[in-house]
Amino acid sequence: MTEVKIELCQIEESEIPLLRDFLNSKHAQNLGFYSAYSAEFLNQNFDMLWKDPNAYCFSIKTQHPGDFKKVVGGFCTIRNINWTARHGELLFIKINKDGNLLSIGECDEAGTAFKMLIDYCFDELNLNKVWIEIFQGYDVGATLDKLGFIAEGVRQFSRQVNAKQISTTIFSLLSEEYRR
Amino acid sequence: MINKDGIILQPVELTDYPFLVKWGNQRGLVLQSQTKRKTNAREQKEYIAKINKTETRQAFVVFLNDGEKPPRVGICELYNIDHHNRTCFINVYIEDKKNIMAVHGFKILQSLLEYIFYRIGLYKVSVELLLEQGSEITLFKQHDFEIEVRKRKHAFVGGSYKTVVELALSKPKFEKK
Repeated sequence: MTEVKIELCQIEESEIPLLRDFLNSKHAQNLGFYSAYSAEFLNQNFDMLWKDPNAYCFSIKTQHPGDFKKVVGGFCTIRNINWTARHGELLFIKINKDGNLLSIGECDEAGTAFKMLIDYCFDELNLNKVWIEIFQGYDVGATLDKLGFIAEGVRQFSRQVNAKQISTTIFSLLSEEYRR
Repeated sequence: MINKDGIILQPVELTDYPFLVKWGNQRGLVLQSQTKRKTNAREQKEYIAKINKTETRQAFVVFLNDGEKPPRVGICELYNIDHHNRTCFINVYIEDKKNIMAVHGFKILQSLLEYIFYRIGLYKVSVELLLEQGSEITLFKQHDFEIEVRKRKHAFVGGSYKTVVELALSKPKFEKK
């Protein structure tokens, strides 16, 4: 049985409506994804996605066996890259066919795409460290542990979701600690 | 402009540019915003205008209000201002650490925090410092800041990667004090 092919591609202009839907979905808002690129921002400054030297934005495309069409199933970003200290922040969002959010460890596709993103950071961009901010209530600690991520601390009440200030946990991964 | 307890915090102007470059590039003191030297007057003007216009960043020059000609003693900077989540990061750099920071450091920080919580209306303020900056960490702890995140190899200073600590203070805690 052939496996599902997964690719990370640079976002195209034709994918803007889809990206906007992602940004407007409740799941994405709970993840704070919109704080990076709001729909309004996308409409006005789409070129910024390419021109910003400190951010890379990808769409996650999946191709099922026997199917020629590649389907966009999520988006991921490396942003706030500090080229001097060689680290960057990861943002990852993957949904299934019904539009429900999948966490990194929930399906193989999401896990593979996330690994591809980390590989890209370490092998292509030559970063020394990547970090990710996980919202309270998303239980992905075990999955991140497997990859070698370490919890660095908790930012108390750092995000506002549904009129409440909630906490986030910072996980980081150094290139030498990455379990491929 | 903020004028309180003998401290003046004034938004940066074009005449402050040399000080921004000088203080902003102090090794290990300002982690986020290293100022590139711009020799062209037009570029300098644009740079200052950009700081004053942008919603995510604000910079102030600190003056001591003790005479007719108050001396510039340092800079304060707010960056990554997130109006949605009501958070921001701050940088404070005072040139003469021994004399001015020890005497006026508390007042400068107090004025800045009041500005952040009551004028801009933010909920939480954070600061990033190197782990080895013991005296600065102590000063922020006096204002009830707490260490929240210990970021490994997060800054490249003096040829090696250094650990950065993130201290934070929320508005309820500030008010309680």
